[in-house]
Amino acid sequence: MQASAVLVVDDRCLSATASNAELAYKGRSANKTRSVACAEIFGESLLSRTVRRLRNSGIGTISIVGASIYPLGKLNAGIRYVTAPRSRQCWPAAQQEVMRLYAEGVQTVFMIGVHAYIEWDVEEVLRFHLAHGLPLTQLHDAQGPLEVWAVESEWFSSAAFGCTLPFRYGEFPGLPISCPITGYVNRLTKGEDLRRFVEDGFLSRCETRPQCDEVKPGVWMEDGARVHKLARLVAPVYLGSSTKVGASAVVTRFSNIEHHSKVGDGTIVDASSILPFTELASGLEVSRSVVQGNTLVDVRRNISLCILDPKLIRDAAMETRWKVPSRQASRATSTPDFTYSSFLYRAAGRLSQVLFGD
Amino acid sequence: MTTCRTVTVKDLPESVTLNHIAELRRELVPLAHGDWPCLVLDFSAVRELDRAGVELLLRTMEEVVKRNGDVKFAAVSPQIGMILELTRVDRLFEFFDNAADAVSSFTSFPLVAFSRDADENQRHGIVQPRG
Repeated sequence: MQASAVLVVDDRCLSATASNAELAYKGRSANKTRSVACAEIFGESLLSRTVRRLRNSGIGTISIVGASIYPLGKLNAGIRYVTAPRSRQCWPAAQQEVMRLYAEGVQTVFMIGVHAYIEWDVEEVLRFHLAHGLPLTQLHDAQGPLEVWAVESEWFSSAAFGCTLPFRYGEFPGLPISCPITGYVNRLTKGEDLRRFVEDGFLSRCETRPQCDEVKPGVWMEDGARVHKLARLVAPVYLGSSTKVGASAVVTRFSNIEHHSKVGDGTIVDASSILPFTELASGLEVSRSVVQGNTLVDVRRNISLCILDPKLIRDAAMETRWKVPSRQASRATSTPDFTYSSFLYRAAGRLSQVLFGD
Repeated sequence: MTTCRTVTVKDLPESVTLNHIAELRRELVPLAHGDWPCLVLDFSAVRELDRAGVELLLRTMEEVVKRNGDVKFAAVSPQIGMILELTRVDRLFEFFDNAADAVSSFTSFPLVAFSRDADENQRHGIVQPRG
């Protein structure tokens, strides 16, 4: 196939109202690998799934424009990384990359903003694009345009040089051509979208689904997942590699615990997604939420909260710097104060009592 | 994948309350023993459920899980479902419309049953109980 692809990964994360100053100040994810594109569901990120789809369709040359290097495992071969330190520099960098591909003789380039999960037939879209003979085609579904374009590199480097990116309809008369698709699409703009994506994966409503062993009907566990014998897993549930579920914990209702995460003793994870390297302390109840590191997104209220107390939720991916005002310095000690710890122990004890009559 | 050799379906009586717990416990205890006990509790006849009944369900689950088995609920009415939800034990069990679906769920993940739940209720894992 005489086409290449340029994938743009900015730091866009799930949109939600920031409920505390910490998160509001940070704005978009401070950790570039926390963008939606890098959020791993059932052990694979959106970016990885996009690369895989392109590879399977014969796209040999793939460039990824973003803020860092994104580990893609076996898919890394042949990937060219173009770093752009800031989100607003990603699309200009993508433009330069397309021009470089033009210089190498590539005729058609797919430019993709990696934000949504889209099941599309790459070859069919390319045929559609070439059949119309126009230089710019954009994918559409029933809800509107998607950030996937097929662009002729020659036109892009000449007539379209310096145009607004991502492309805007109407900047060039009659362009882009709309290519309708009917496959599964999830725009992954809010926590609710991500949760629906997980549910659809469990229910085989899309191509995404757990790839690991189904240890019992509806319970998928990757290698290295450890579950305490007193924990309760209610199908359907996914546990990633190197996860740990503590005693008397409950994971239920279409929840997924991604790799290197931990669920503390007596904690309930109910209809929630726990993304990689997230540690939940003991005695908590996480319901209808998406938790990534120390950021919790309440799906029902669409509110995000940055939790600064590592004794509640901890970001295990990096050292968490917990700065507190001096008058609250007592909470920074290794031993929780009486009120705090008694709440957690009562919560854990209550669950234990309910479950086992202790 | 772990599968059960035989699945036992137990029809619960109309009243799962303190006054009837002793007899019911005597019936459930042997069902929860053995290797990999697979138990379906059919709630189609249940009209009363109190805290003692909920505790008995939890203890049954405890015994079954200890032996690497599982217990699932079938045909839970809306009223009984509310009690289970109030006591926050609904999230500990899988619910099915009927005993046949519950039995088959021990051998394969019941996509149809869960899809129906997700579409009708938007409350995952809770079956639309029969009235």
